[in-house]
Amino acid sequence: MAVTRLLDIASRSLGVYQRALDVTAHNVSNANNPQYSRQRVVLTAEKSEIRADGDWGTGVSIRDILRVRDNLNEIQIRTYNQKYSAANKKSELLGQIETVFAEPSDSGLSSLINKFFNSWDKLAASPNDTSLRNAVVQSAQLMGDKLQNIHDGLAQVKEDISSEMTDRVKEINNYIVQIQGMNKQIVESTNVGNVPNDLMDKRDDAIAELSKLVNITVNYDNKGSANISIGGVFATDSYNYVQFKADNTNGQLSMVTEDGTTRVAINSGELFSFTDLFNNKIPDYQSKIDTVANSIMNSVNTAHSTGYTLQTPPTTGLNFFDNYANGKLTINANILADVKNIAVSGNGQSGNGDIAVLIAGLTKSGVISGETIGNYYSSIVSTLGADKLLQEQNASSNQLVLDQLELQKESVSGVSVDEEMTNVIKFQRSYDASARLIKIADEMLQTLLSMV
Amino acid sequence: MRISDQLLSNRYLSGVNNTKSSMQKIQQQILTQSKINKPSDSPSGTVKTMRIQNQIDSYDTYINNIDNGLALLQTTATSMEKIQDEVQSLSIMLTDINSAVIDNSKLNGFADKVDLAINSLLDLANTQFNNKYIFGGTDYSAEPYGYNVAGTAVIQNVPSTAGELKIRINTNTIQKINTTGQELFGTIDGTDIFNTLVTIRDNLRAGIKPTAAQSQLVSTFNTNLTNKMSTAGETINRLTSTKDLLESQKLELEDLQQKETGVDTSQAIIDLQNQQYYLDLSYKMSSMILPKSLLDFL
Repeated sequence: MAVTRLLDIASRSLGVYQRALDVTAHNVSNANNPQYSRQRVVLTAEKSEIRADGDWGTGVSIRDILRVRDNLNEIQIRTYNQKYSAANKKSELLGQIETVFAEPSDSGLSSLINKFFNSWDKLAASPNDTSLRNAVVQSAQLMGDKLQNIHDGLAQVKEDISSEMTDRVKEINNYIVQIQGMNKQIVESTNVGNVPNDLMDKRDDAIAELSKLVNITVNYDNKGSANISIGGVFATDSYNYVQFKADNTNGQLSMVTEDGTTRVAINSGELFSFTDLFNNKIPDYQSKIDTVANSIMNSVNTAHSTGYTLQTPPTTGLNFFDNYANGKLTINANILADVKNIAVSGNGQSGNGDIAVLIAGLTKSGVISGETIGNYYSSIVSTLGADKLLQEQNASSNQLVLDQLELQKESVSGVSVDEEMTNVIKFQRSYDASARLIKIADEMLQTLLSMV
Repeated sequence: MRISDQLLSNRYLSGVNNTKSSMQKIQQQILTQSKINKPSDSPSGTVKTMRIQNQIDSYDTYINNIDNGLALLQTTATSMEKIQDEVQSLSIMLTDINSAVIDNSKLNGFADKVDLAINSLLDLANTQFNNKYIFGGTDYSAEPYGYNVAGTAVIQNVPSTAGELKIRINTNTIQKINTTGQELFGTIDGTDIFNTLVTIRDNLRAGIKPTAAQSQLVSTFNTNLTNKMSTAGETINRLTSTKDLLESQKLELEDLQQKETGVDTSQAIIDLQNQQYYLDLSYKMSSMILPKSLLDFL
């Protein structure tokens, strides 16, 4: 055996362990990088040389530098990212709506409606008392203000959602462009036999962030490109990408391709919370509040129009409320001008309060499809509370699963400094041993040369 | 399971966040003294709280109505007592007049007394309380009773004194609280108490003693008055009992509301202290575990 062979094997080993130390240093420097997946050097024996006197080993080489990652775990993380983001954002937005309703409290609509009807009961005891008449008007105005406040609050939440949706779609577009760029680079790198682990880490991180925003499907082709579709619509591969925009047509919020031809079927992620609340939940709450307001207006007007005012002579046929539209409940201008126009007398006499008693009793009547105003409104509040609680619990349970999946991911892909330090010692010793081999080979050569 | 450094710090942060989240919730409950600050804290509890509060507000309204009603009834009862005093004095006087002892020359003096009694009765019949003529029914446009222009007879100045003043004293209970002029004095048609006394007065001035029928009219009025006073008394009792019941029910509702939403402050403070202890413990543990690795020992 040639002594130079020993030199070859040893010098190749030096290169291998130098590279292994580089990989370890790279791992250690990225220990706190949440995007990073640890890389593992896979060593293999070089192909042996087959000779007449047997197989001769030719040293060690690096077969691969693996990015340690669990693909199944990645898929599950994406799925639960979408679920958690949808539930969490929905919970947050429903919390804003809860603030608008401000229940249970004295400033909530329930209390103000009750106080409005109670004011009629008090007026019934002294129908000609101006201060009690003023109190009826004031309580009606407070109730009307709250209805307007709820209407405006819900409209504001919708506006905020629309604005945030536009921003999120821009974010999605940015991620798509990034991913397409990285796909292209990865394919080019793979074609020349390289393994672009760091680029793949960055791409996977962008895909993970994208999955929080909207439901995506990811398919990896054999060239390493991650081909992504969003809600069934093509988004990007290594060659092309599509851009999207937020669309608000006929009061329906959605995401469409930039040319406006294709609508994305959003069913998860933050965008799902936006579209569901904007298109379904908020209009439903507003519609029910409108039902409450219209029922109050119609039932009070029906009773009030049969009563007589305190004017001389007493007049009848007057409505208490003028109109309800866009959240604004308007009191009859004649009543605002003169509270004597509140018609509570059943027979024209100034001390008769029969109509006031009748109006006060409406709170116990089934004026909304057989349900009382109080019960109907309570069911709105209860539904809102239950929706929020459900989303909170969904977010919480999805968070638990996500945390567990992240822990598993970290367990597989995370860098352990202890482990890397052990590897450093290992590779360093191997490097030292290879260097010692070179020295020994050198001494052997010198011995041979000195013999000549 | 393989443990990386990031895993350790993530787990620590997750634990600290959970502890702080619990602390924040307890702090809010202590500050607001309520377990339910928004519907999602307890959807069913929120609805219950709203209903209880509305019921309490309604009870306050009913109690307020009852207080106003009682005030009117007290005034009515006092006025009727004074009316009865006048009528009883008149009854005695009429008996004395018809006794053989009274000289006809003294009849003018009795006429003056009857005249005074009529004016007193008219004043009492026109008693006002809080801008209401208490015997005027529900028509407060004018004094219900008075002399005609000629001053020769008492007339009713308003079309009707029969209007009933009603208040709500409970969820489904409406209570009439006034004694109408129609109920007490009847139709003013000449055979009523006022005009009977006017006739007696005028006869006395003419030297004519009151007839048995006229005396009987006064007596009948007195009997009716006694009945109406009894009715007013019963209404007062009913309102007072209802008020007591409402106040008792209101206390029960407030107690129920407290159970539904109230925070046991001492328990909450203990929970908060426990959470603070767990937080301190997490900080201590992290200082012992997180920075250390093999690197420190090489």
